[in-house]
Amino acid sequence: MKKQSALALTAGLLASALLLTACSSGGGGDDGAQQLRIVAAEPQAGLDPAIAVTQASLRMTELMYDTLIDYDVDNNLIPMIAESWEQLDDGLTYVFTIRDNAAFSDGSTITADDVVYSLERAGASESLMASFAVVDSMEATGDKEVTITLNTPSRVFLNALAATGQAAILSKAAIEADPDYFTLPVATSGPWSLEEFVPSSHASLVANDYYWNEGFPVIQNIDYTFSTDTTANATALETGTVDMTYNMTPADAVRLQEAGSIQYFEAPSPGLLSWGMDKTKAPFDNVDVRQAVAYMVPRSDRLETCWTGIGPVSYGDLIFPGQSFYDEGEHRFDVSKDEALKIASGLLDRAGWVEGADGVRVSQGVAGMADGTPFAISVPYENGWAQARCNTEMLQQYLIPIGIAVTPEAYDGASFWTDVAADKFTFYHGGNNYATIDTYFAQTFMCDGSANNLLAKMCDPKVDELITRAQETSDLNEVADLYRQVQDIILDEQPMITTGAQYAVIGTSLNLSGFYPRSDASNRALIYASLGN
Amino acid sequence: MLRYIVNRLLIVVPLLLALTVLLFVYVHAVPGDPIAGMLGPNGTPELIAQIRTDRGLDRPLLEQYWSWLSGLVAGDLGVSLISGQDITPIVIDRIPATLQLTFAGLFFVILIGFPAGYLAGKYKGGWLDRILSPAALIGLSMPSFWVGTLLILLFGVQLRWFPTGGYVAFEDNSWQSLRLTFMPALVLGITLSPFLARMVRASTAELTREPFVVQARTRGLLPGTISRRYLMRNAILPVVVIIGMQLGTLIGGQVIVEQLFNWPGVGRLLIEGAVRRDYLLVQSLIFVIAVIYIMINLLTEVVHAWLDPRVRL
Amino acid sequence: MSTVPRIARIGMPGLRVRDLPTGGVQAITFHAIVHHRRALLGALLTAIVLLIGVVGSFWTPYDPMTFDTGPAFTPPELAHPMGTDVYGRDILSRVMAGAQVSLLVSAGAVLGSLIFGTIIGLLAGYLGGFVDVVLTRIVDIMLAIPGLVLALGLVTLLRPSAFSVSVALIAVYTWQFARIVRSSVVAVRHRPYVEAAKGLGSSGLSIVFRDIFPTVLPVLIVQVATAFAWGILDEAAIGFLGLGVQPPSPSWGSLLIEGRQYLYDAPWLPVGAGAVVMVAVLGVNLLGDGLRDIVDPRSGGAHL
Repeated sequence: MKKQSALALTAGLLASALLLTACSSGGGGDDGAQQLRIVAAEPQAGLDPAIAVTQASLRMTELMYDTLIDYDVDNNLIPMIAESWEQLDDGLTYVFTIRDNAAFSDGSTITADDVVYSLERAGASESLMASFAVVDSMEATGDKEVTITLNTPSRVFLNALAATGQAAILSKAAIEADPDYFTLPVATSGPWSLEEFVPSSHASLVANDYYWNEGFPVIQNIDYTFSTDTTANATALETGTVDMTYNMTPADAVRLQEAGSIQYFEAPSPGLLSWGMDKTKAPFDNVDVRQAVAYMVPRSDRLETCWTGIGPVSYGDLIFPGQSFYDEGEHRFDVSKDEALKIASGLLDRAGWVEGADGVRVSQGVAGMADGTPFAISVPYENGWAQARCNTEMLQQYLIPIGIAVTPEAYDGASFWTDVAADKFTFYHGGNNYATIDTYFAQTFMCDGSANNLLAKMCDPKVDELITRAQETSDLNEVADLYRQVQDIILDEQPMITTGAQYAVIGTSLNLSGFYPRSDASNRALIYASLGN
Repeated sequence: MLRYIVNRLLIVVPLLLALTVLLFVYVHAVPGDPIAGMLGPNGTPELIAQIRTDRGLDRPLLEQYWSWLSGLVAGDLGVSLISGQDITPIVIDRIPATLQLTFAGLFFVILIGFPAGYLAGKYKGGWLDRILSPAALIGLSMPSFWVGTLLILLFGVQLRWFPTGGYVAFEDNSWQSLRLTFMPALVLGITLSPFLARMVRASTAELTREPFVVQARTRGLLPGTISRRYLMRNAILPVVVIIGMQLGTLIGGQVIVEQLFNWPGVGRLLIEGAVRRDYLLVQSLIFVIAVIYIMINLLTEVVHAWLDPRVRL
Repeated sequence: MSTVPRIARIGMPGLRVRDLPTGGVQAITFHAIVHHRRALLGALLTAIVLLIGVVGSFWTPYDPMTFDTGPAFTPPELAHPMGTDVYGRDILSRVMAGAQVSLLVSAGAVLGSLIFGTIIGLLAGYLGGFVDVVLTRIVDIMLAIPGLVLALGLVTLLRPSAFSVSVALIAVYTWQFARIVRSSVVAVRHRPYVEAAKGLGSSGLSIVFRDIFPTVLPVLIVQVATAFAWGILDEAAIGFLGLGVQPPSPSWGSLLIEGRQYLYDAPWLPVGAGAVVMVAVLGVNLLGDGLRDIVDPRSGGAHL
């Protein structure tokens, strides 16, 4: 019995081993049937453009809904649902003409009523409310014509209409007919329509037969698998299990591209990576202290180590080469490490932080702090953001020469931003990306900007005035100059210390051609892309 | 016998009820707002409040508890607080993957553990025993994620025999599905088979000494016949018991393996829910897992009682 | 005093018949351990690991937090026996520094669950009646939730840190201790000498200490060793899932998170850290097994 069972066991194992080695590495890539397999994060915020503001949701809603206008590869505005538009002489009125063949995925025509309904809905939503504040009225002035009147000239209003995934054109009839419309939206206006959605698992999209753009999209089916594990996603892309994933870890993308298994794209989105500070009390209420730390934080080093070289570095600028309105300013913090140490030491000494016994500075005559308090701070970062952890750990090392003791603190993502808003942190790691430079500056630096209390925590009427003017004027050179002035103010004040920005990394199989990244991080270029061999 | 079963069931019900209260209280005591976490820096206070109301998070706690509990009784696990989607279909959708891994894991556990334990027990003290027993102890001591990492590095990266993670449904592509199951199941097998092996070894060894076995030998029965007729049948028993006893370890091990190999099972769902603070998902999942756990334990108790009348008293 | 009867083994071909000593706590002597192969090996391994932990708390080859002690991602070599990580930190130093944290977490977990579990078990077993029923139900409920799941839940509640992992593990292990202690106490409660002691008027407390404890102790000692091994393993597992000690604080668990992130660039990190965990757990398991054999030779046939 023993002999028989042992023999059987060995034979079985050998056979399975042989079988398993004989197989080739799996490659499920379909050739003829233009089917794209994406693996990415689940759109947990849902599919309602009014509330689905997370990147994960936008990546899906932008495939399902079209907007009136959109951006092309050079970031110029091009017609989408709107066939053409004109701005009347008063500068306040826009007339949009809707295409004749614009239709929803169930075949019904897109009318001016649908457009007005959708835009009113978008204007009432949290995310676009600020951008639509300049709107005086929106009317359907014909079956295929919509007239929008502003109450003040705005250069940026059109950008709001192009807000990918958010200024979506929806079917009024379909939404009013079904109170739970957004659990599985049908009759959608975009290049693909949602066929199936299984929460926590996958979704599938199929090309919209009634899409206005004849011949597009080339890709007929999209298989969307949900996974937040970036390591596993990278592996899936490498082995050919999927064709595309976005939000890759830069290290994985670079490694795999060098190995020749994938190609990757960077989305040069406006935004910032910064150290936020509580400026209401010591030590960071003193601009000298802020400047000193700004000299010492890792900049290009953190780009190389934590972001594998992908993304821009800031030595003072907030807008980077390649982005709209880039105007090179003073690269104040681009100095040698020795130089930086000398300057920073001088600044801290002046601020009342003198060198202490064990290498950590202590306060001496600092308002609001007892003498002898060591300069020791706990710096929280969002747990789960691996690059943030890397960056904060580097910060710890880089502030040692200047005598500041940093303790990195992995902070629960679910509480992080609410605690930032509640001013719980003295010094913290932050960052965000935006669709355009205009929204970036408006939301981050204006006194009542939605992201101000999370990142910049500043209120300067001069900055507000500059940004408002920049959003009104249509002279692009003037805009660049105005934004430059804003950056100069911030360079001197350092309300937050910006070291660069994080560009989203989109990895695709080498078979995907015709795809290009966009500065609003949108994947809409997929409309024109195809899977070759 | 029937009275025994009813008796046990009566104890189980209040147990489960107490469990629901415990879970509800715990989950809502966890700091952190799931909606704020999901929205990140894009979350304005107004947007957060709006979505919270949408999902019913601003109702009084007692009302939330009651609606969850009454849903549970009806078989409805509630609605995810983050995505607003029904939980029940999500869990059901993950069950095939979970079961595939559990059964494949159990397959390896038995494949490795039973022969090893049986042989070690039958020839206790012999050379095979002296090799297998320390091997079992080493297997017990190996962290499952370490074994998994080693296997990934060896079979996935170096030799490229198997894909390093992911899942394909069996009905979609059986071959690929099996290939993907191999490594995670093997990890479960390696780390959990020592428990089985030890138990099997113990009972086999005891059986070998039993008078009826000794008698059979003196009667001149062939060793093979003895093995088949007496030893093996009785040695199978501990397998059932051990599955019940080690279920907790199996579940824990599976959670880790699912995470390492990106396997879309119920274990990973739990971790994802915990990290995102999806209260209802975590509550309902832990409850479901606990119910299954209790039921299986109950089943093993009943089987045990059926086999051994003394237990019923 | 409890005595364990001598057992005569049935002579089987190939099995040496040994004369077995009496068991119980008094059997744990230096002599016994040295002469029991597994216990000796286990004791040695455990001692080495503890030594690493102790040494690691005040000396490591390099500072475990300093960057660039060597080029990043160097494989194991003479200057860096376990290689370096993404920032050029020496991995061996981090493993040593991490040993202290992980061992302390595990020890804390074992100590806490030992104390609470014993109290619960004693109360339930000795007092019996309603107290027993209630406590046993509570134990059953808590044991109904799979260990790792319960621990993860608690760690999420308490914010990931060394302390919360310890607390979470106490919450998982306590019930097992309680169950073991209770069944030992129940088994002993009705023995004649205990009844006699009660009849003679001895106070409950003295009965507990003089008569019940010696029976319970050997079982407890073995369980402590087992729990310690599990504690190390569970701390690393929880750390691996990202819910334990957070980097850059070194602990074996946090090293494994870093290892997983850079799996392809520096495989020696997860492999090395995991190997150390395995050796530690193996050592304690061997010791536990050996002790079990020494204190209760009856079980020598049931386990190896």
